[in-house]
Amino acid sequence: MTLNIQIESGFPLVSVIVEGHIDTQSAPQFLDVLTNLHLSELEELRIIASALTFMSSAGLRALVFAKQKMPHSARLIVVGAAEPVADVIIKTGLGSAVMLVERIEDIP
Amino acid sequence: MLFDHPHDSLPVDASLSLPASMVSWDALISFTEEQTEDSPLSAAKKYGMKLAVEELLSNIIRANSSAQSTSSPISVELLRFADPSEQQALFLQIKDNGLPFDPHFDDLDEGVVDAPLQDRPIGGLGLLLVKKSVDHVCYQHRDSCNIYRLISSG
Repeated sequence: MTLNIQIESGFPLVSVIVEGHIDTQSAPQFLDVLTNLHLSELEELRIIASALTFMSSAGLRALVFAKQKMPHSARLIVVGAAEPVADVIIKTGLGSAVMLVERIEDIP
Repeated sequence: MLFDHPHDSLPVDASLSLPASMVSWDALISFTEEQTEDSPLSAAKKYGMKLAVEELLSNIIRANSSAQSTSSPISVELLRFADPSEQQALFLQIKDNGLPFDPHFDDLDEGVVDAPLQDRPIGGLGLLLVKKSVDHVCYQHRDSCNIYRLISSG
């Protein structure tokens, strides 16, 4: 149940590449990474999730935390999430706050 | 409905019981994945079952760690239906003997998902995800145990 995270920073746009599971055990690692991103100054945060195999409510809480700390006009975009992961985001009503796209090229 | 059968009448095909602490996390999740992957469920239903079990285990372990100095056991069990026509479903049961905790699955406030993000508390989504991720879930406190039963099919 490992989680690997890489950051590609091009401030004020930051991409966080996640690979593996975001569950109760690994979500603190994800939250730590997000917390250290100077969220209040970001214009766009991309979560590259094409290799993310699982996300529980612990991962959703980290996303909610990040969006709440970002400027109101800033965008939180999840790229390439598998259908079950995207479904969890939508089921919990976060689809209106988090933009879901299949590929980076789809970002408007 | 899920407690219509007397507990002892439902055979347990596989089970794992470990201390309710994060030390047991990987083993409990691996056991759940094995049982789920071996089931006839669709990929989406398998994911939903794993998600529901993960959320419940997380709640139980968190409650146990704040309530007791030593870890009480937590069990994940694969139950077998009495009716062979129901064999296409997956029936998992989670048991712990921590403090009674009834999630009141039927009364969960689903309106929380419509709340603006800025007004949301951090938390409160886990039990809702349990309910939304499986076909049926219910709770009973019996013999000093919290018992959660989850069923999905198709």
